[in-house]
Amino acid sequence: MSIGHALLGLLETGPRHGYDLKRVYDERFGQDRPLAYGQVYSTLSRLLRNGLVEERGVEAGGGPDRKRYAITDAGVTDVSSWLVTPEKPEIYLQSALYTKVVLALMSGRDAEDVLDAQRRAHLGAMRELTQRKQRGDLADQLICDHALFHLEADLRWLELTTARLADLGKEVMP
Amino acid sequence: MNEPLLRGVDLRKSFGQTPALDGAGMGVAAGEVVAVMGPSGSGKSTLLHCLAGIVPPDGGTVSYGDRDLTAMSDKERSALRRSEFGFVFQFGQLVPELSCIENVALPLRLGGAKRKAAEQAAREWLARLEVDQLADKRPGEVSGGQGQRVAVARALVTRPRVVFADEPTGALDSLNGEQVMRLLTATARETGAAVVLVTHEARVAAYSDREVIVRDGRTREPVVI
Amino acid sequence: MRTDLGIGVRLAVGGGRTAMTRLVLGAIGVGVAVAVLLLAASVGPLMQARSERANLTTVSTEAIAGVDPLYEHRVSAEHRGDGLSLRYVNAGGPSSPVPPGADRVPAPGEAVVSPALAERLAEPGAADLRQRLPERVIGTLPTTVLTDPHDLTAYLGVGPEVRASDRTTEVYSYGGFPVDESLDPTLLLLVLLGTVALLAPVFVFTAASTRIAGAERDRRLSALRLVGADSRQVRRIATAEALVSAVVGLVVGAGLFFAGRALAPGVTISGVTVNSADVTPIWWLAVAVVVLVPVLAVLTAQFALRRTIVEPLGVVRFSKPIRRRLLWRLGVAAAGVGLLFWHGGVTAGHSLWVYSITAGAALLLFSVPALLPWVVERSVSRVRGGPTSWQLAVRRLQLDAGTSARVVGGVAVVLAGAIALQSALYSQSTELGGPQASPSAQNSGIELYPEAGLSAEAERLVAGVPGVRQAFTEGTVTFVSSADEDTASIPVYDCATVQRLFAVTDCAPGVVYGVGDTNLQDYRMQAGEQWWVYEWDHKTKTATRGASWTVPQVRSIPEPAVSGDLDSSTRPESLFVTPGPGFVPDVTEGLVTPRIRVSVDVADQGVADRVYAALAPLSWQVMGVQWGSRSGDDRAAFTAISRGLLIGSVFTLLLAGLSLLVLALEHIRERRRPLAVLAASGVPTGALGRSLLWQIAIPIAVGVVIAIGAGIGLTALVLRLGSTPMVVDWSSVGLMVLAAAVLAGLVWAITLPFLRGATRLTSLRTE
Ligand SMILES: Nc1ncnc2c1ncn2[C@@H]1O[C@H](COP(=O)(O)OP(=O)(O)O)[C@@H](O)[C@H]1O
Ligand SMILES: [Mg+2]
Repeated sequence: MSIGHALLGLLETGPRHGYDLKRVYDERFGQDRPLAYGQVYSTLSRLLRNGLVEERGVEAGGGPDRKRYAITDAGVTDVSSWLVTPEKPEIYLQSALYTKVVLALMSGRDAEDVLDAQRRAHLGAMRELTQRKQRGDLADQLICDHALFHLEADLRWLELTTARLADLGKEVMP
Repeated sequence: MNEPLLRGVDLRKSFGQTPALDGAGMGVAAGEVVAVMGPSGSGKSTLLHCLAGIVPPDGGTVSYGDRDLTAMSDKERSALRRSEFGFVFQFGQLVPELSCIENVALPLRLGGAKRKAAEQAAREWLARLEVDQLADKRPGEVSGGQGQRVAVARALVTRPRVVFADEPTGALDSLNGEQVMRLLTATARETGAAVVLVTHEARVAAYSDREVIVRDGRTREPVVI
Repeated sequence: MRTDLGIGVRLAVGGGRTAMTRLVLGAIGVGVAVAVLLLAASVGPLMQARSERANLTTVSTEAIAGVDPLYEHRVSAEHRGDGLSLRYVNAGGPSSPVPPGADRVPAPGEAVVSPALAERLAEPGAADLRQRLPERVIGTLPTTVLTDPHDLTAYLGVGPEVRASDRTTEVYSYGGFPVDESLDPTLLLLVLLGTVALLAPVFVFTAASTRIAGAERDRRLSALRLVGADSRQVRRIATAEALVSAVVGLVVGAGLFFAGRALAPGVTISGVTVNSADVTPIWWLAVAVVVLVPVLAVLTAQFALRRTIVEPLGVVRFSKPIRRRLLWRLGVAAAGVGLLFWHGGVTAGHSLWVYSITAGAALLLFSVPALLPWVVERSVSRVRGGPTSWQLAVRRLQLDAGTSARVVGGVAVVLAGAIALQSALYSQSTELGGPQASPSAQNSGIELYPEAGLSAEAERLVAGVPGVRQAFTEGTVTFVSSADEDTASIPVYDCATVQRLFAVTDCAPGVVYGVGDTNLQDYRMQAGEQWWVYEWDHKTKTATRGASWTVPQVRSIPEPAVSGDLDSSTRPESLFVTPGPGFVPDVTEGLVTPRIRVSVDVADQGVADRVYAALAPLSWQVMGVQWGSRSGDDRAAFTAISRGLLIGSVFTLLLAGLSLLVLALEHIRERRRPLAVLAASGVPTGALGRSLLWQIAIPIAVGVVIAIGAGIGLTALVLRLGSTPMVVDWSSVGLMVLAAAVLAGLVWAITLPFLRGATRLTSLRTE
């Protein structure tokens, strides 16, 4: 995800201090990883350089964290076009899991154990997400669900592969 | 981990030539939600039926507390199911001509409760499952998710020690399914009931504390730690 | 349009086992109705054929020039309780008429007999009959000249001595003298009521048959409607579906009718047997049946569609139905009652009267199935409490009272009709010799009518027969008053008889004896009055005044000691005269008509045949009548009618039971999953079973109550017209209620295994 675009989007609701931006970002999007200050300022200076934001005065007390930033027209255009540009669907053709399964089969190990272990791990993660989802607000729920659906997709693949292990075995070890 | 409340050991069951269960076993402790997962036709439902004493297994034992279900008569098992177990199925379990509240009150009334008291309790359960506004509607007049919540209320109204749910969200969309699962597991945990949850959906299974995988009639329970 | 009809046909026949069951049941229902209607349409021709055949043997005694008379002497007798019609004939010459069905007039010692009599004569055990009819059989009468194929009839040749008998008639030609029989109004009412009561259920049942498994059909059609079929298409589909079962029903009905027709000669109803060929419906009535039944079926289907058309979603989703309206239902009943009260504003016998009574009765009966759904709906709609099984049943009925009520409507209308008819019959039964009539002996005395001069011999022949308690000859002398205004017939006993029967030792001729204080008041005679003996000449058929007679004082005698256990028909009269010089020369001679009264052992069934056998030497010269056998016939008719009604009712009830069964099974199948889930949750099957029982029993109970009301009301209204006091035959009402209860129980019992099947836990399988 593009942090620059996210910050631009937040600035669209009104000028903010850098510190403010980090706080709001963490609240909304920073579920797993809070932004580092350094990252905020480097991003902002990049945006400033590209003319997407501008400085709007400095509050008394000075210092970089006391600067107020506002979005420029070019910035607004940039956010708009970012929002309507679809994300590229991520395709993991070189899945580590696939590699593991094939290697297990080739080395004569129990591939089903590999898959089951993975499955347990996945389900454990999903369980955790589900609990978090139940505790959190709507935003938490949506974000957790996103992750849950992805994990579920993996799990489905695991199930399918388990069901096809016999066939796969014949193919990799003719 | 607690001593399992309900435990099936080495269960075998065949329908004609097809073995539906071939040495399956699992346990569930009080207050625990266990998901039974596996592909379609792997024997999940059969396992649930055996554990619940609906179907006597061909081999193996099912014990509930210190009682042996497999040694009980059909009548005793019926009585046990009536008093200690609750059931939620995929669909079509509500009696179409009874209103929702009457459906929920049904197990209590069949247990001999007075109509007033039974419907009072039923109303409370409907409220807990957030469908109290449907009390006087017939099952045909409510949506699938609402009907399923009514069914959960009916399963819980007798305060069962074990709730058996066989694909309770199978006929629902994700949102409704999530709601039903949330309410089912939350209320079951509140009342300390054990839940045996049969599902092939990982997201539904994620509401459990633990999962048991069934494959070709055999369970692959992870080593209990 | 063609495709719609195609879909309908496809739905009717191609829906697997349940569709087939539905089709078969519907077809059987319609078939039975068609058969009954065809039979009803054949009653007119049947009666006509019978009377035409009866007319074949009526005789003309009017002399025809150039024709020699046939002397015919008819003797009726009995054998094993069956009537024997014996015609002793003697040809007056070569041109004498030949009896219908015979090749020639049998010569003395020869006989032409009906097939049934020929068979009877050939039986090894019928030696007594062969003794009575020793004539050589030279031919058999074809059944076409017999009123009834089972008639025991014979033409027996005798010598010219028969010509001298009083009872011999000179026949110049046979046939062609129809007897006009018009029914008396009370009887006509009964017939009308009977027709309506038996046919109304047929129509109701036809309607109900096409609605068997209606709930499922409704849902299917609703589903079609939801898929996008417009109301016209749905109507056409339903029409095709109804037509299929109606047409199959027509075929079944025609089959049943022809099968029944072939069996007709084997069935005897109250001594009447029917020739197959006579059972032929009036053609236009048959056409009407063939057209009307499918039309009725289609109309019912259309009528039942209203809800499907209006709110298809409600049907599919089991939501609460629209409320039924009462007004038109009450209207039907009110119209019926009104017609019965008004009865065309004319008196009995008028054709308008007949029509309005029929229509009134029919409307009243039809109001039963019309009212029933409303009443069932209303009576369950307020019900709340009760045990769970009751609650389940009531809820089900609240949701769909119509289907059950429609099916039960058939039962109710049968019950109402049967109750009405039974009560009407019962009220009339005094005249009909039914159970209300005075109890009479199973086997009463016999009266013998010997030819002149043979009474002494006949009495002698009979006296020694085992089982005969007493036999005496009784003559009758008729007097005519001086003004020729009054006649009085007084029994005549000779002194030997008087001394034998009464404690009279000094019997004198020409004396009037009276038991106790019996006097001549009953004969409007006064002692000292002048009367004349009334002489009737059989040959010239003229009456003349004979000897004059001065009425004497009655001589009182005590009650005879033996009379106590003799039935009244053969007990001696309590006022009689002894023959004496001048006016009553001899009991056995000319002026009086002698008969021999024979008292028999009431328990001895074979005694009549032995008496007749003992009289064999007298052949045609004595004729016997067994008293009580006539009223026995009436009683048999009454029992036959009641039994016929009962069989009809039971059969219709059974059919209604079948549709109830289908309904219950359908209901179980619909509820397979909830039932299985309930059983899985540990609910005992008993509670579920009881709910099923309630569900069957409640509409039946309501139906029975309405049926009793309508039936008794109808009888009261109809009997009011015939001014016969009404007597409700509670025992047959009870029987009907019992039958309905048994039916409900039976249907329930049959459904139980299916319920057990449904709650078997394999029904839980989702896939
Ligand atoms: N009542 C039954 N009769 C015959 N076969 C059955 C019956 N119940 C289950 N089976 C068979 O047993 C196997 C397991 O069924 P089930 O337990 O329903 O699987 P799952 O619930 O995991 O989809 C399947 O092959 C199914 O066809
Ligand atoms: Mg299953």
